[in-house]
Amino acid sequence: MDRPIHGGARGPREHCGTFLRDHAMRRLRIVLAGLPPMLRDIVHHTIGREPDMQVVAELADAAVISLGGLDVAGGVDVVVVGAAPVHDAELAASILYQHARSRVLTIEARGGQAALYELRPYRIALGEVSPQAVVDVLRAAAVR
Amino acid sequence: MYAPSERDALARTRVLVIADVRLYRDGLADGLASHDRLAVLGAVRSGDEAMALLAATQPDVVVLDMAARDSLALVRAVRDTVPNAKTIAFAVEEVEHEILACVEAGVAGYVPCDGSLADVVAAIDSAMRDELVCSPRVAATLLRRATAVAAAPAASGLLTVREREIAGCIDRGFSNKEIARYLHIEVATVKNHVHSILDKLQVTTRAQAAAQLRAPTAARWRR
Repeated sequence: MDRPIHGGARGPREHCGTFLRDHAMRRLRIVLAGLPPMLRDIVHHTIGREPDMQVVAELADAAVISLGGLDVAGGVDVVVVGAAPVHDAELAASILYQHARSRVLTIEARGGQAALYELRPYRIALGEVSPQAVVDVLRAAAVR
Repeated sequence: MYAPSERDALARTRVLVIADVRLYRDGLADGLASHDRLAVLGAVRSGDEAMALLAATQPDVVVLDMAARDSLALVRAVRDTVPNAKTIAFAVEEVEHEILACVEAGVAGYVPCDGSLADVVAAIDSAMRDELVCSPRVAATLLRRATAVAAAPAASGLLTVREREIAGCIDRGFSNKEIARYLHIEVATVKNHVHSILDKLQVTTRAQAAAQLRAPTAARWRR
């Protein structure tokens, strides 16, 4: 079961308590993909020392996830991938299209530079709309 | 008489990590420190930081990221500062001229770019036993090189120490620019040395010079 991000109708205090309880019970589920061996070992070793984290899968090639080949029972919170700087956005997007609730941490293998990718709601203000405008917006959204 | 903890510390291999990328520097230090038989003395980013720590700590092994700037010069500096320390080069391109450059600079072991943390530990253990872990192809390269070096004195006896260094680079297929970078000298200086080598060996091309240095016995029979 995925950890809830928003508390819904619950108040802030209740939400906070639920979050902490969930957090205590459930460790962050992490997948390592496409990392060179040395980097994979370093990340795995580092995560292994954290009691609230666990590596649930290791994949030699991150493309497997992009193609929908990652099926981990219990879900995935973060995918850590090795990526060249010019390709990391494309790679992260392809993974997020398959696992929208996850986040993707890309690490550039040689320089050790990292970036975090996540999907967020994006609001486009349309102002007061006419019935026809609603239809037009729906059509535009479907095309995108 | 040492207390048990002191005895343990003395028995452990004392390691210094040099890497300019923080993730590798700290990650390697943590990963190696998790092995009982290894004691990590420190992890530093640059040659300047390393030199101060080397003299103070006298490590048994220096693990050095070869992707760092001036890494070959740093290998030589480690060798000169702590002659008994064994340098393990990691992130080495497993191609002939890279391996030979590392060996000639003084490394005791290496881990290729696709090596793992376990490979670094294995390389450290091997170096401490005065052994080398390498692929059969690299072993063959090293044997060829040893043969060439053993055969070279007759012809290279004519050359100065610097000319012999440059002749060795020519033999490995380096361009003048690569030799200059490798030896930290100007390209014009390399050209002067190359001309001198050709004159002394009485040949007209670099290939002929390299061949003569590799096969002096055959050259003598031809005369």
